[in-house]
Amino acid sequence: MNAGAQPLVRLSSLTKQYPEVAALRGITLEVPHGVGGLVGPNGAGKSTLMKILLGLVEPTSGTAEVLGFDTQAEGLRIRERVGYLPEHDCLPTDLSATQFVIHMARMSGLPVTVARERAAETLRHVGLFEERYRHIGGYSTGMKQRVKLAQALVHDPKLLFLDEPTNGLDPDGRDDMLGLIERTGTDFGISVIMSSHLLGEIESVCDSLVLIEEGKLDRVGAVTQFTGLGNVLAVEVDRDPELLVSRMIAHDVNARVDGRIIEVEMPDGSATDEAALMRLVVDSVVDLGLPLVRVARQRHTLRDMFRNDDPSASGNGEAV
Amino acid sequence: MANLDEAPQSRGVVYDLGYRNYDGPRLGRRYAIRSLYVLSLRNTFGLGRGTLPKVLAFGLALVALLPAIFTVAFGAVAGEGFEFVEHHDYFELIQIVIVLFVAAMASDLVGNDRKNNTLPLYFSRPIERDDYLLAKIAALATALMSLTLLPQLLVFVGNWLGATDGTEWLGDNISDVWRIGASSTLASLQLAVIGLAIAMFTTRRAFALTSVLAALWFSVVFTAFLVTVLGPGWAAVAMLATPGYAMNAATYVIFDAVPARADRMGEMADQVAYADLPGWTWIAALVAQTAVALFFAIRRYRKVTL
Repeated sequence: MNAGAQPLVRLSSLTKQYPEVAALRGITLEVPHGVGGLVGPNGAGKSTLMKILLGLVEPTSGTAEVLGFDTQAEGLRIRERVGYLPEHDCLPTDLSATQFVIHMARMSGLPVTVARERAAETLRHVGLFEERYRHIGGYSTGMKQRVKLAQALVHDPKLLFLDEPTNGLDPDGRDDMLGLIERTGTDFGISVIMSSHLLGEIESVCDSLVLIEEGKLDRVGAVTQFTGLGNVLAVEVDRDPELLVSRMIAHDVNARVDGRIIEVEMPDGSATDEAALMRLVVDSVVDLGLPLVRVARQRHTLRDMFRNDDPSASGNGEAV
Repeated sequence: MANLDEAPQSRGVVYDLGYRNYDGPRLGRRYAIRSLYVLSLRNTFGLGRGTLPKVLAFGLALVALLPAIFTVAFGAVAGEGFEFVEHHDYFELIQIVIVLFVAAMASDLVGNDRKNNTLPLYFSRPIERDDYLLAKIAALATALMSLTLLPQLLVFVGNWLGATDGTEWLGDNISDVWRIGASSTLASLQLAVIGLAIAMFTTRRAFALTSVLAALWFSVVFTAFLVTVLGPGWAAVAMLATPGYAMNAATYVIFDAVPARADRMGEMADQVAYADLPGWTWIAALVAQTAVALFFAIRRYRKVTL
């Protein structure tokens, strides 16, 4: 199997119909190797898609391939090569993290001695130390989430499926988890597909993203495609922003006020044009005697993408 | 994450301690099933768990062994011919102990994985759903062997050692070895499959426990009453449908010990004789009960949503 030639995941007209609802309605797409984000509101079909990819749930129609294997005919081969972190609690309470992760390593086919070694290493890697000998029942949410990651990583999979890996974590724990995921993808050569309803998380760790809404593919692509540098210069001044706006307009440059920030539209042209604009802005500020706080190229965020498309979405706050 | 809060300075380096890629062998499906079997078997006897599961499992196993221990001990004193309990009676004598063991262990073996929602982790590994069930059944059946096979072998060895002429005794009784093996294997498999099939329909331990007790123990009490009021035909049907009767009757048949007397008010052996069925019927009933329970168990696990 050539990792370069084969897409990580390939779906064609994939549907999943439950008695009551259609979870997936005909999705066709390819996900490249790397860290991929699966975004969408709760109930959009993210978890269902992951379970289909693991061969745990049969699609109603269409096909899905993971690492070149068909999910329905070759589920065993896929499951030998992937790790899975489910969204909900899934750990036994009366075993220690060490016992459980060793057991799960053996379930993935690792010989006993290797299973022991790798369980210890993986638990250390996810940041569990002395407490790994205690029963999981007494763990905090953050520790449980680490055990869940460890059992998904212990057999060194080619691909990790992470379903809402930051669920229930406090901000520090969230940062730790995202850091771990990012390093898993970049340093260990393990591809990752993680789902999240938080765009900020996807943006910070993912290379590519798949957006599902109501069981349909909304869009797919590289994250940078959606978050590249914007063509807006943000200028923050302490007072009288309108003065700067009028001065810009007098120079035939579009600008508008957004709170204390003036958004100045940049020309599409060359770097010299940009430098010229930058000089014009700074000169104008000095000339007007405005107290300048900062000037910066504004970066698009994934949130902009949704804000521009669908004004009603902004009511959902951070969540898509 | 208390550990990180206590040692914030180590935060950045913590994760550098050790991820390595693995290129060694991956032993695949059969090895995974065997691993699940071994862990489940260990769990049954409370190994790697707390004190209470150990006490419960080893306690019940010890009680099941007591008649055998008595037989050996008194046999050694009283000499040849003393029989506290005979092979074909043994399961009937300790039936409640075996049933309690099945009830307690079956709910543990399948209930915990469902209660804790661990199934998605198992089924995202290189096993199929039937494999999971297979490993659990094999684990419980093996554990049950220590309550069925072990005491029977102890009785056999005890009688042998107590015999005046060991060689002659062994020559006369050697056929009991396969009878012991066959009867305890059939009984262990039957009880394991039925117990697990019932236990997997609930995640509540108390409910699983009482359901298994009802199916394997109260059913015997109820059928014993039915037999006293029904004619031979219907009494036979009731007995064939009752796991406890099928298990003991099959054991009588295997040891060629169904009494000739047909008294429906008597002991279980007499009631079985009252039904007046050919011997193979009882073994067929046991196998059929096991197969039906297995069918429902497999269907249950194929349908379980993850």
